[in-house]
Amino acid sequence: LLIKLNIKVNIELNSMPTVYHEGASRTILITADGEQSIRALVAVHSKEIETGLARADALIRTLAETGQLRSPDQWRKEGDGFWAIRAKQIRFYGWYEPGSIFVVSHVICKRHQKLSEADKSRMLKNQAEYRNSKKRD
Amino acid sequence: MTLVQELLKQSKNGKKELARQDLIVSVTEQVWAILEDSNLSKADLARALETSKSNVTQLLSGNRNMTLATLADIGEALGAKPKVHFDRQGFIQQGRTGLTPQATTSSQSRGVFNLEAANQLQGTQTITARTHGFAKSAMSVGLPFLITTE
Repeated sequence: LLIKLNIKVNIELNSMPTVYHEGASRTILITADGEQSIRALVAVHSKEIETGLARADALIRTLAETGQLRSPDQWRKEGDGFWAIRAKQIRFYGWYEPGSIFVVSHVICKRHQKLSEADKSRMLKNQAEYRNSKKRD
Repeated sequence: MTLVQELLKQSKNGKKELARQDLIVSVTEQVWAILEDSNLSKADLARALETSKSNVTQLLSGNRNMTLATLADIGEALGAKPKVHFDRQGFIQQGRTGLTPQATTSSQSRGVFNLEAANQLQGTQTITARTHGFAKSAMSVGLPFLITTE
């Protein structure tokens, strides 16, 4: 029973979002899935992906510092309260939470313009996990 | 430092790419801010620059290199004079490159791009290189950079 409890606590701790960037206007959190997806993309060692990640990172830090992004081509509402930061083929998907928080759900490299059903499901799952963890707090 | 910064700084071109994209986002977000505050569209800017809307889209999304000449033309079209500073002090203090809170908060709602923080910087220097060479040049001499408009 103790082992089971320990595993459960570890899984819950691992799924807790961490601070990605603390800005003057907003705090950016990132889910465990988000962190893993960034690590996986960096591991590809593609220049195109590195450029996209670096630009998306600069955009998300701008969002944290100023509270908004001006470029409509790189900041898009995806529906159902979800947003995408778009830089080349890189997409940072996320949503707003009360308290000037933006949570990054996951990061992908894609060619399609629209949010896929798979990404929407992944985001809903990460959002449910985040909100459940907040309830437990 | 964010996770992306931490990971990319370990790769061969990562540092360079972080510096380049910081500068690109800093400049393009400022241009977007002026357009938005002045109620102007990409098409209006394209007309003023005597170029196509798709060229402006490429420039403002950072997918096309912007030369200093183009930046000056954009400033002229928008009635805002771009200024470039190398920020040696910021580099030492922050231990990172590019985007700074000062560089991004200056543009908020005033429509006037007078970066007060820039006056406090030490060791600033106006440069005349082409924009796509800024980041590389700055990194090679250990300087982060700001582009501001007033």
